[in-house]
Amino acid sequence: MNLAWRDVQHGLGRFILTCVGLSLLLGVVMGMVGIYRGLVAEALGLVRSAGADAWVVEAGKRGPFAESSRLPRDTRDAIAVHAGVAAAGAVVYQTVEFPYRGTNLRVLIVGAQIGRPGSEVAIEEGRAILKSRSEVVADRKTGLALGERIRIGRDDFTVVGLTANATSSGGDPVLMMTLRDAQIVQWQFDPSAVRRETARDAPAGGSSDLVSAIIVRMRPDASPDGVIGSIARWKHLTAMTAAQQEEILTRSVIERARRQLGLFAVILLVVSTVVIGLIVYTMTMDKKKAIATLKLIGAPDRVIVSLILQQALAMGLVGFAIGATLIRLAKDYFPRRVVLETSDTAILLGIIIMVCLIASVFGVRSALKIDPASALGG
Amino acid sequence: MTAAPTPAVAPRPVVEIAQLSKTFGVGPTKVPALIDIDLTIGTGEVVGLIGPSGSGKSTLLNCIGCITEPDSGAIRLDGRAIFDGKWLIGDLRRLRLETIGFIFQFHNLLPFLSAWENVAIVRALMGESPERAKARAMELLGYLQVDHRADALPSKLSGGEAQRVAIARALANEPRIILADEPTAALDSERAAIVIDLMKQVAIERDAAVIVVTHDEKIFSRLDRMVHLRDGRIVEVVSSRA
Repeated sequence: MNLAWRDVQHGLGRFILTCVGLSLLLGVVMGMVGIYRGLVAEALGLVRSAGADAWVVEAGKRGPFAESSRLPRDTRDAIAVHAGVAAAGAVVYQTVEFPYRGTNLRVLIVGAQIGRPGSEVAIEEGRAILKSRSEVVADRKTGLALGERIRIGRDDFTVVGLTANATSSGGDPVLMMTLRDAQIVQWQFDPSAVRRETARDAPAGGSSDLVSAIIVRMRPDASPDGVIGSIARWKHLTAMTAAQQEEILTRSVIERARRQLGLFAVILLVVSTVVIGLIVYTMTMDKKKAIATLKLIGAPDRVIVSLILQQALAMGLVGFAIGATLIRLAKDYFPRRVVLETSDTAILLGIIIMVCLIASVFGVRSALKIDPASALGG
Repeated sequence: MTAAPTPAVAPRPVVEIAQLSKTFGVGPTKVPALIDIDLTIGTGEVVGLIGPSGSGKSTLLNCIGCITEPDSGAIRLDGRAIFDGKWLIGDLRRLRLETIGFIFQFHNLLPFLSAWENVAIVRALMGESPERAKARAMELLGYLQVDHRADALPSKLSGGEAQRVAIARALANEPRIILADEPTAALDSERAAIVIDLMKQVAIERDAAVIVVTHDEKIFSRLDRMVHLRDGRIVEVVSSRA
């Protein structure tokens, strides 16, 4: 007979309640890890969806995601004919907020040249942008519907396609439009601002034919380092590989968030360890008389240690299972994307098993110290 | 339950204690709990350890039960030298499991196990298969006429039923020595008499020695011998067979 199981059965309600409480704690830990993974996925998703072999940005900048970068649009034409380059496309990235259904909708506008690198997007519903003006493809998280008309700045746009999970590293959904439209949104002044600029005799908005970056696709036979080195030698440009761009994003843009979430996850794991330890200790003390009796009738220490460890592990595993189920059911309702990877779940399961074993130490120590003579008498 | 039979053969020593002493505390707080105790108990005997609180009866029971280590003297259990100035056996828990049965004041049944499981666990700890352990437990519960409550949890048993299950557990390892600590304290006179008669029957039928620590005067007449302790010494031994 399994003593641990029989004891759990005896106090099943209390055990389940304890497991549910623990599951909430472990669910939050899983949520933290999921949010971090979501952060990385969102940040890298934007870079990867561009399908770039290299990124060309303003000289001395680590743009366009880590910091701003501005290049004349015609730089693309020069890069497109560079040795080893198969195709190049200019892109603009800009975060905007515009009025929508009585509130402000915050989006990352991605402006790309139709048919050129940076314009490809996985459409889930509807179609890609075909017209050179006034059409947008929106991520589902914007809440925009197919065919819906929106006003950004002084122009109206029609939603012609919908994507999924296209967001910025900050979690803002992507709104894709043509490069020209994006430049207008970026540079078009409000009429009052135009009048003010005219009054001070300044050109309204200065040069507006600027882009954030050039996305480069190389020929299969080209040496990436050679092409990048050659572009960098132009002095007024910085070129980097896709891997370098991803490195910048993960190390610079989301590093702090990663550390913060990691710290919270560690703190919660420590709290979980303390909580499990306290529960195991309390459960052990509740069984003090029973353990003394077991010792007195001749049960070896391994029977008592096994009773405590099995219950601690059962509590951790049941709590983990409920927590994992809860977070899977709730992840789509989180404001940020939550990515639950099997490898993370497996690692966390391993950690929880370790936590349970560590947390059992006090309970086991107390159990082993129980004097069998305490079973005698009242 | 029939009346306890009388032993047919002369008792063989099961518990032999010589010059046993035990002191608790050190320095000025030193308290002698047992002083030069000599005692021999044979098969089929039910012996009561009697005396006021602090007289040493529980310490003596604990020393015989290999729970408390004496300071000096010697103990032999079932012919085997257990203590001679120091423990002579490494695994005392195993020794208890194989040789001694315990009966407690408040039965001390494991609350999460049913009646039969409380008995079978002893056999399981001895390494017996679950099926055989259960069969043996049911047999013992039948012997103590409480098998109809085999599936009940201790919280659902009456005081008398719980004590019978506790006796069945104490018998599960077929012990040569049964140590009972105030087994009748929580029972009324009638049930107390039944329990003592039952232990007497067990002692005779199973060739075991029963040692009972008790304050319960209503059972004195049913004991074979009463060993009176005071201040750690045996002051009087009264035999009802004499």
